Amino acid sequence: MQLNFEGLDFSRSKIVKPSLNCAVEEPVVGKVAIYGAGLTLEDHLNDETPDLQIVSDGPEVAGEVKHLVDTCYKKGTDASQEASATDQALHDPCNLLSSVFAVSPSDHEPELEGADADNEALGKTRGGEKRESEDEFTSSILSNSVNSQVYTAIYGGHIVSESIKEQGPYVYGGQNFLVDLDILGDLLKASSCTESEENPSKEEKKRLEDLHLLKVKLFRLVHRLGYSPENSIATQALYRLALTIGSHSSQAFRLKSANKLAMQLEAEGGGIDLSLNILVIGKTGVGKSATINTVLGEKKAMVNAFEPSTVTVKEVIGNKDGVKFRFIDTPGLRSSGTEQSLNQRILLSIKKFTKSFPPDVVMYVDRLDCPTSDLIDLPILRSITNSLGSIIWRNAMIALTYASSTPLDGPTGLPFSYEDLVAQRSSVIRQCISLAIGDTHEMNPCLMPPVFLIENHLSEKNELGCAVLPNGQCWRTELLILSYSLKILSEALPLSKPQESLDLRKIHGFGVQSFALLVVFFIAISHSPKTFR
Amino acid sequence: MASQLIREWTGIQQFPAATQTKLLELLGKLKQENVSTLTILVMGKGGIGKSSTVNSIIGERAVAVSAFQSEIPRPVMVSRSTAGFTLNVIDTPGLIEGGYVNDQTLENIKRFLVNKTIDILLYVDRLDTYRVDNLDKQVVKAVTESFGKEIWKRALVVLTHAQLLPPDGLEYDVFFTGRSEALLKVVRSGAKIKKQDTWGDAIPVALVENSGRCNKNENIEKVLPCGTAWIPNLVKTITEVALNGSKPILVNKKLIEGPNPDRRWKEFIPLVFAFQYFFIIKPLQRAIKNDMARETRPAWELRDTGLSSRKF
Repeated sequence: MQLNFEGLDFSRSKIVKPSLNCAVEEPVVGKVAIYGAGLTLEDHLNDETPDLQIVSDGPEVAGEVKHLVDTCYKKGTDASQEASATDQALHDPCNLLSSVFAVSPSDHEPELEGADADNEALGKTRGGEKRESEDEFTSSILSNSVNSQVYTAIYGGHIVSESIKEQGPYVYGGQNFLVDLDILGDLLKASSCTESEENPSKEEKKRLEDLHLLKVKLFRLVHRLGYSPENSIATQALYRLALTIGSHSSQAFRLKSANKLAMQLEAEGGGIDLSLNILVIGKTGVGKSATINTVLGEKKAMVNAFEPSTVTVKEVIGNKDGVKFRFIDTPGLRSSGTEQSLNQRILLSIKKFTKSFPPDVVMYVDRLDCPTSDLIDLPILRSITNSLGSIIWRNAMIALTYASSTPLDGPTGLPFSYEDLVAQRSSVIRQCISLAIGDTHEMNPCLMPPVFLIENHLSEKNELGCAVLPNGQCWRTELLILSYSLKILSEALPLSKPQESLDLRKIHGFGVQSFALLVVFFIAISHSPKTFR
Repeated sequence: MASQLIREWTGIQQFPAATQTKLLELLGKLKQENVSTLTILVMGKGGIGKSSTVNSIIGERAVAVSAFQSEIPRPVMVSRSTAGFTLNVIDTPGLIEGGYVNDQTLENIKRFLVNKTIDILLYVDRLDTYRVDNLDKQVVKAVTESFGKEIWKRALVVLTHAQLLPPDGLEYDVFFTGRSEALLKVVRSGAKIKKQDTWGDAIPVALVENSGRCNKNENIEKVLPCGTAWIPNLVKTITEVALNGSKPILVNKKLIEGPNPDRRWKEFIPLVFAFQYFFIIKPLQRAIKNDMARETRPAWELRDTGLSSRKF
C-alpha cells in the first residue's frame, strides 16, 4: 500500500506521520497515524487523478469487490483540504472515509464482520500490549495472503470484529486500521480546546446524565456477554453516544467512570431495562426461525427441514441476559416469478405487524453457500424495499447462515478462501440492496448493512457454550452486542444536541486540516438526520 | 458428428483401482446387452453442481466450473470412449433465470440436441436445499414439454452436496428420504405422471459429492456419509435405467418443434368433403327442388311461362 501524506501536520498531538512512499510503518500499539480522507464515492468515480493508490497483488477476487476497491481510494489528502472549506462535508458525514488508525498486527486472519454501518473508524486496541508478530503484519499487508482481507475489510466500510483468541480484541476500521481509545480522546480534546468551556446549563446536565446512564447500560450488557468493554462495536457505540452531545465537551469522555459504575451495578445484580424488536426477513428455507432459536438459546420457533414451517408473521418473545427480545418471525419469501402475489401478501402482513412493533433491527437472512450468480435476489429485495420502504435498510444487518459450510472448489481444484466467499456473497447482496433502493448516492458503501455469519447446526462449541465458526468467531455475542448498541444509540438519539455550527477557522488555526475533518465528521454525524431513522 | 474425434477416456485411470474395476464391469454389462454408446443429458436449475458432476464422472476437468459464475453459457457435449464403449455426456446451462424458466436457454438446448438420442436424463438438484418450490416444478415441466413424458422413464434424480450434516438432529437417511420424496413428488406433478403409471414411483435417486474434501474409504474411493462409494453407485444406477426396457428418446425435429399444424388431420379432408357432398349438399338441393315444385304460382306467371316457346 503506497500512501501519500504531504501536507499533513501532526505536530500537536501524539501522532506519527508515516514517511512518504512507505508501506505501513513498523507498527507499535499506542501510535496513531492519520491517513487521508476521501470524498463521496461519486467523487471517487469522477476523479481521474488518484493520489492514493493501493498496490497489491491479491489473488483473483470477484469482480464487484475489486471494482469497489479501485474506486474507493482515488482521492487523497488534497481532497481533505478542499473539503474542509466546503459545507459538503458537513452535510454528508458518512462520505468521509475515516482516517484515524494505528497499525497493529494480526496473527490470524481478521474476519469479515460488520458493526455500525454508519460509523467509520472507531474502536479500541488493547492498550499497551505489544504484539509479537508486528513484522508479520507489515509484510503481510503487501503479501497475497492478507490482501483478500484488505479487500474484505474495507468493503462497505464495515468494521472487522475482534476474535475470541487469547490475543485479545483489536479492531480493524474501514481500511484495516485500529484505534487507541485514549489517543483518540486526546485528539478530540485537542480539537476542542480552543472552544471555551462554558458552564453546562441544567438542561445540558440532565442530558449528560441520561447519556451517562445509557453508557452504563451498554457497559453492563457488554459485561454480561462476557466481553471486555474494549470490544470494537461497543466502543463505537460509546463514541457515538459521546458525540451526540457534541464534541466540545470534555465530559463526553467519562467512560472510565461509566465503566466503574457499570461494574458496580452488575455486582449488585438487578435487571437492565432494555427491550429489542428484531424483524427477521428473508427467503424460505434459509434459517430464520433456526437463527431465532439459536440466539434465544431455546427452541421457540418451529423449524422444518422439508416444508415451510412459519406460515404467518408472529412474534417470538424471549429473555436473554436480562434483555427482552421480541423477534418478529416472518414466512419466507419465494423466489419464483409466479409466486410474487404470495410475497406481496406476506409483505403486507409484515407491514401491518411492524406498525404495532416497530423494529429496532432488521435482519435480512440468506445462505452463505448458495450460488452467487449476478443479482438473483434482486426481485425479492426489490419487493421488500417497495413494500416496507427503503427506511428499513437504515438499521439493517445481513445474516448469512450455514456459515460453517466449506467453500466450493475453484477452477484450480483448490477451495476458495472463506473470506473471498463471504466477500463475494455479501457484495452481491449489498449490490442488490442498493439497486433495490435505487439511489446510489444515498446508500454509499459506508452505509451498507453489516454482515454477520451464523451457523445454527454446529456441534462444536467453545467453552462459553457459544457456537464457533470455521474462522474462530463466536457469532452470537457479536450479533447481540451490535443489537444492543443499535438500540441504545437509538434511545440516545432524542438526547442529541441541536444544531450548532463549529468555527472552522479556529480549527484551521491549528494547521491540522485532517483534524478538522475528523471533528467535522463527528459533528456531522450528530447533525445528520439520516443517522438512524 | 462423424468428423468429431472422440477422445480416449483417460479420466477413468485416475479413479482408484476399486472404482475402476467396478466401472469397467458395468460397462462390460452394457456391452453385453448391445449398448455400446450411452448419451447422458444433465439438466437442472443453476448453480447446483451439474458441471461438477460431469467432471467427476469423466474424471477430468472437461467442463468449466466456477463457484462465482455458475452457468456455462451453452450446452456442451463431452465424449469419451474406452474399450469399445462410448460415453457422451451433455452438460447444459441452468434453466432458471430471474425467477422464470429461461426460454432462450431451453431453445439452445433443444437445438443442440437435434438428431441425437438421449439414453439417460440426469435431473440434478442439491441435497442441502430445504424447500421444494414452484421453480422446481417449472423446470420439470419445461423438460417434459420439450422431450415428452417418456423421458422420465429413462431418468434418474441426482442430489449433489451429499456430504452434509443433517439439520435439526435428523438422521442422514431420514433426511435423505424426506428430501428425495419431496423432490420426486414435484417431478411427478410437473411431468403429469399419473398414479397408474407405476414407473413413476420407480425413478431412482442417486447421491453425489463433487468436492475435493469428500470423505474416502480404505480403498481411497470417495464415499458418502452412509459408506457407499458414490461414483460406482451412480454408474450402476445409470446402467440399471439404461437396461430397464424403455426406449431411448430420439430428439428429432418433430419433437423439437411440435407437430406441423398444416399437416394435422390432412387425411380427413376427402372424408369431410364426401360427407359434405352427400349429407349436406345433396339433401339441400333436393329440398330446394321440392319447394319449387310445390309452390303455387300466380296467374300472370302461368300465362307467361309458355311465352318462351311461342313462335311468332
